[in-house]
Amino acid sequence: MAAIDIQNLKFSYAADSSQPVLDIPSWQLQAGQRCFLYGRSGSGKSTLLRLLCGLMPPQQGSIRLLGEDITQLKPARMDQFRARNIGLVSQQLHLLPYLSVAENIQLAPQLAGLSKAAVQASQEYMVRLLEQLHLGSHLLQQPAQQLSQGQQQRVAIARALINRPPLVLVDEPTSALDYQSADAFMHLLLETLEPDTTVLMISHDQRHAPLFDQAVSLQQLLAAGTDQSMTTREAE
Amino acid sequence: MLWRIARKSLWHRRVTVGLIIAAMALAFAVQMAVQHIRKDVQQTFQGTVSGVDLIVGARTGSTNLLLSSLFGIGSPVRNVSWQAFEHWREQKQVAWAVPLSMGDSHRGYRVLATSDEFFSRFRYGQQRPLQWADGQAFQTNADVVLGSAVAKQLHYQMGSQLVLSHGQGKTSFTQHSDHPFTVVGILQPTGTPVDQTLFINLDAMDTIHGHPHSAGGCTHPTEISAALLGLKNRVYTFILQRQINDYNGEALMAILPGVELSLLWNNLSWVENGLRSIGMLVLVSSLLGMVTLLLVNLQQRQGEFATLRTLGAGPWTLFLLIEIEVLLITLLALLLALLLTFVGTEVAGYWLEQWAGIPLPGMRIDLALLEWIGGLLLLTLLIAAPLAWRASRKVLLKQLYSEAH
Repeated sequence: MAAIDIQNLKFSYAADSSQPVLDIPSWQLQAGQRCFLYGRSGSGKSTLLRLLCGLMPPQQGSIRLLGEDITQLKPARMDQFRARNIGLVSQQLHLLPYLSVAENIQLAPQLAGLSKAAVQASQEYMVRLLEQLHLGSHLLQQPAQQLSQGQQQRVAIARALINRPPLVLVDEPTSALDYQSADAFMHLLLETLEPDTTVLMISHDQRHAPLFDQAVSLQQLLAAGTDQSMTTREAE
Repeated sequence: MLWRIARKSLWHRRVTVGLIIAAMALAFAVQMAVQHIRKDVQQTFQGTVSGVDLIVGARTGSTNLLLSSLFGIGSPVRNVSWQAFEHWREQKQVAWAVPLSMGDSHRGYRVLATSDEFFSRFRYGQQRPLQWADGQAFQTNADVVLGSAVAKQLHYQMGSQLVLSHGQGKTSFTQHSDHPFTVVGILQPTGTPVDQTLFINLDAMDTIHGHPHSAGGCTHPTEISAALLGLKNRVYTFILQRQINDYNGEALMAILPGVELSLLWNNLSWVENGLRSIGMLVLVSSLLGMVTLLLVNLQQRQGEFATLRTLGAGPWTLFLLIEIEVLLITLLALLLALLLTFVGTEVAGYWLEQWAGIPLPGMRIDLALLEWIGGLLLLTLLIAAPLAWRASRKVLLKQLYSEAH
C-alpha cells in the first residue's frame, strides 16, 4: 500500500494559479519506505511538506496518506488525523520553552485526543524514547529552555514519535548544525524510528541521502511530471 | 492541559504580563473606588435625614432652605416667628414639630439650638434614630451635646467646658466667653451633618445673646431659623406643603427633604458623571494596553502556535488558549484591584474620618460588584476574541508563507 499517493497536485500561493509553485502529476511512496527528497532552496520542498501535513489545501489534485484522501477531510478531522498519524520533525518546530521536557512531549498525545489510558501508556514509551535518544529521565521535569540546542532537537524527535506515527516527515532538521552534529543527529533519528515507519525527509543538502532507501529530486519530479522510477535511485 | 499551558506561558512572560496586570488593576481599582465612593456618597447624602416630612422656613430658594437647615451651609434669609411655628405645630395633621435656630459656631463647627425632642425625632439613613455614645440630651442652658466628629476632632469628653462664638465663620472675634458650656452628651457617628454639629437648647441660644426668654417668664424664643415637621399621615404632606406656601400670616415655605435631596443630587450629577468618565477613560486605556500586549505577544509567539498546530491543535484550541490567558490576566488584575480597593478604602476611610470626621464605609462585595466583575470579564474576553480568532486562523499560514518565500 502507498503511504503517500499524490495525483495531479497543483498549489500556488497567489490567487492566479497559472504559475503554480508545485505541479506534481503523480507520485507514490510505499509504506515502510524511507525516502530522501532533495531540491534547491525555494523549490517548494517545505510547501510540499506542509501540503502533506494538511496545513494548507492544494488548489487541485488529491493527496492520499495511509489510504485517506486528506484533501477531502474537514479541518478539525485533518488536525486529528495529523496528530495521530504524522510525526513532524523540523528545525522550526520549537519546544515550548516554559514547559518541562515531559510536558512538551506529552503535548502530542494530549492534542491528538488520545484516551487517558493511551496517554498514560505513552508516558512509559516517552522514557524509553528518551533513553534511545541518549537523554536521561532526570531531564523530564527540566524546563525546555534550560536544555542545550542538541538536547532540544532530540526532545523534538521524541515528541514527533511519541504517538508512534506510521508516517514521519522530516524538514531540514540539520541545516543549522555542523557536519558532525548533523550526521550524529540523522543517525540517531533513523535509529530511533520503528522499522515499519514510512519516512520522507526533505533537504537541499544531499549528504544524508545514502541513509535512505531512495532519493528523489523534486526538480525532476516537477519538471518531468514523470513516474517515480525516473527520479529515484536505489540508495547506495 | 490548556490551563496549564496558559498559566506557564504567562509565568514565562511574567515581567510584561505583570506590568499589564498592574496597569489593569490600577484602572479597575479606580473604577471600583469611584463606584464605591459615588454610591456611598449618594447614600449618605440622601440619607441625611429621614422621617422628617417637611422642613419649614422663611420663603427663599428650596436649595437654600435645605442647605441652611440640614447642612449648615449658608444662612436663612429671614427667621420664622414663633407664632407661625406654633400655628403650624398645632395643625391637626402635624404629629410633631422641632424648632431649629442657627447662627453661632464653635471652632468652625455649627451650633444648632433646638428642643430635646430633636434627639428622639430626628432620623437618618433607613429611619435610624440618633444614639448616644455617652451622656444624654441637654437639661440646662449651660449644657451642650456634641456630634461625634466634633468630640473626636476637638478631643472633647463628657464634662469638657467650651465657649461658643458668634457667627458661623471658622474665625470669630466675638466669643460668648461669659457663658461657657459643659458637654453633657456625645452622639454616635451618623455620617450626616449631625456629626459636625453642637446642640444647645433654644433658651441657651437666647441666653448667650443676652436676652434669655426664660428670664422674662416666657417659655419660648421670639423667632427661630426653621422647623422640622413630622405628620400623622404622609397623605397630608402635599396638602400641608401647599397650605404653608400659601400662608398669608408670614412668607413661609415648606420643602420635602427627601425630594429636595434627590433634586440636589441630580443637580450635582456632573460630578458623578465626571468621576465615571475618568474611570471609563482609565479603564479603556488599560484595556487598550492589554490588547497591545496581546498583539505583540501573538506576533512573538507564531512559532509556538505553529508547533501547537502541527501537533494537532485546531484553530479553536488556539483561540481557547489565548482567551484563557486573557481571562487569567483579567482575573489576576481584578483580584489585585479588589485588594487595592479594599485596602485603599479602609485607609482612606480612616484618614477621612480622622481628618474630616466623615465616615467612609469599607468596600463590600455585593451583587452590583459581582455583576460589574462579571461584565468586565466578559468585556475583556469579547475585546480579545477577534484578535485571538484572527491569530488562531492566520498566524500559521503567515509564518509558513514567509518561510516558503
